[in-house]
Amino acid sequence: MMTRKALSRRTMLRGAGAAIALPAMDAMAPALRASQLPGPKPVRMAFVYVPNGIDMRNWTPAADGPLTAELPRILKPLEPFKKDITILSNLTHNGGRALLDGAGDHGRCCGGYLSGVQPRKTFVDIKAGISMDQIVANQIGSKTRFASLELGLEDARQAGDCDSGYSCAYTNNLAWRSETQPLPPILDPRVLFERLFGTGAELSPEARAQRAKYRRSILDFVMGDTRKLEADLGPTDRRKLDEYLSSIRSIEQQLERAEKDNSIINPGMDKPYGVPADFAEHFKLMTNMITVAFQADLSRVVTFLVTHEGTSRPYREIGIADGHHPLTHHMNKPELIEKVTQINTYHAQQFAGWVEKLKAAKEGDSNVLENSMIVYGAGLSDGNRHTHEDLPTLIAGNGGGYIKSGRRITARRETPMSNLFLTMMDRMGVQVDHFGDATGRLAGLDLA
Amino acid sequence: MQTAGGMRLPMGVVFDASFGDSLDDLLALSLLYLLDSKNECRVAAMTTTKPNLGSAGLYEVYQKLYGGRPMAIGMCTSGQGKETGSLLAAAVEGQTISVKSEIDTAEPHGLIRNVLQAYHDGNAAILSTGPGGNLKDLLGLPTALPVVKSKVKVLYAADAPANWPTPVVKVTAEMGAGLNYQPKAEDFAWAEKHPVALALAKEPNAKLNRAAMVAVLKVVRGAEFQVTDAVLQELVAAKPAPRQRMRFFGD
Repeated sequence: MMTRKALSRRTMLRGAGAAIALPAMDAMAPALRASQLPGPKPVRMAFVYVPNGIDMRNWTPAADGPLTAELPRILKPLEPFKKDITILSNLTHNGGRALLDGAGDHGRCCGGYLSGVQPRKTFVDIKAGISMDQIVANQIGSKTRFASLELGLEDARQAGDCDSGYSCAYTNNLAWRSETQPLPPILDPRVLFERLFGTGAELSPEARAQRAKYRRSILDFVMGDTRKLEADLGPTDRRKLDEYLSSIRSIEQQLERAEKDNSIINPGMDKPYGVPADFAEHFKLMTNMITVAFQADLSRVVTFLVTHEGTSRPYREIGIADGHHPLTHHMNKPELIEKVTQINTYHAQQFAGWVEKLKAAKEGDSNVLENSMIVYGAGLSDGNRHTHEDLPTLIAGNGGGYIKSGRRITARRETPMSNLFLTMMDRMGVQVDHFGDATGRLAGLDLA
Repeated sequence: MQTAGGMRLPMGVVFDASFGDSLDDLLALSLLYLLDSKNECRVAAMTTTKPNLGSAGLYEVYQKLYGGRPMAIGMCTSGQGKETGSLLAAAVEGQTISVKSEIDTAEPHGLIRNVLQAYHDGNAAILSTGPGGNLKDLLGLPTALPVVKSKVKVLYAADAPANWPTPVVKVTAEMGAGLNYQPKAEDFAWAEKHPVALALAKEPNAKLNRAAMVAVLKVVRGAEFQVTDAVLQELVAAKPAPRQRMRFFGD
């Protein structure tokens, strides 16, 4: 029987100014165990945060346990992935509440979402807590090229008062490297692309335009390496490599199209170069790149602030010209609640698109979704009353065979969200005795 | 929950008991809620050391009956006292209760820590008439100790943890010595199904030592307050005043 030397998990396709990591391939395992990946599959973790709460009447399934009935309206886009998601009820962020600090729920709920602490009410000397994604990134980040990735879709300032005395740093960031240092999200798909696959340098628009004049696909630069590698691969891996490189090319084409669209739609506006005018396209571009980054094990930790907390962004794409935040203070007017529900559903649609991609990304006998924990949720439940209990939360994926999905799990009332984070940190291989306001691990999530 | 506008803010009181096991506790909570309705205090949280849904449900009955702020109810899920005694069974008979399972209740220690954070330093107290399990668990939470230290002015407890960090007053049967207040079911007739009236109808000779009621008044009105039968007669069974509570952020 012919044997072949195993390909290193760290193999890169290299070319001038470009380096592309590879997805997990059979060739990375010893030839005699071709369908097995080397070692345990990496578990990835991501947080997708949507602002201004969610209309819980259209979010929460009627019953606990297996998701057998049709999902509620907002979650309907996730119906095809019902078996892949876990809906969590009753999780609470006490630090989001006023306690003694008065108004400012939007600032608090986002600023402390991943740290389980109450942010200091200030727009000068900001202080929150180190977020759980960064605790994980600090521990396992050395295993990947990027310890963590922070993404967003909406341009937002980092200073000043964004909510009743709370700094914009609280409403506009999810990840906090330290108590005083938030990590602003990358908004521009091209910047993300170049960070993931290019030289790492973030070029100025002028420099990028200069380069674009002579632009070729990044794949062209690594062509030599690709050909050499292909010669050593079996038919399954060749197909896998082809699909992977095609997905990178597809992202490039989306970027080119987006930039072109921008120049047609909005040529005079001071908008970041490369950011698509269309929300859904922007969402798709960013998450497509994260899928590739997960496949290639470029990073295992992602935070994604879809739009910033308290945003008044309108959604003209779906016929809603009113701002999101004002709509959520709907005074129980049915027509306004309907618009909020439409926005919530629109967000869930985009998320479902990403879930589909992750599930389609094969990884040995499983797929990237199975080996991930993608938390989708908000820091407020009822955006009208600014409530901080029973936060809308779901996890897509199984965390590498840990989470028994396809269920709704209702925790006891007031269960800290930090309990979920402690459990997730365990699953990421990061042992922490205490975190935020946790009272323990979240019971019932695992396969036991 | 509290403003800092300079006015005297009501003290928050956490009520912890093996709720439903004694008539004293039912009367004490009636009194506490009455004082809450008069803006003399706030019922900050209600927790039970009794792993019994009826016990938690009975708290909910009180909260609705006295027009209190809707709140999660803390219930211990292990330990002794699971059984539903005749007093508890009578008090919850025919009541509308939404507490149906454990998930409708909260962990007592986490709940107490959370509500204490909403009070100014030294403006909260805890009254615990039952076993001290919930209080011990509270001190076991890594983030709770500084909160307890700064917020809890005094703990009145029958079974206080030895390492409790703020002043403790032991609740003993002797606190009610010399008092003869005897509640009557008809005194609570202002409510269709007052738990005390239901309990008295079933157990007219239920034991009473009045210590928990004395403790409520001491917590709210101060240690020097002289509790007399007349005071208990005036307050314990009184109909709550219509709510004209101060508006607090977060209320």
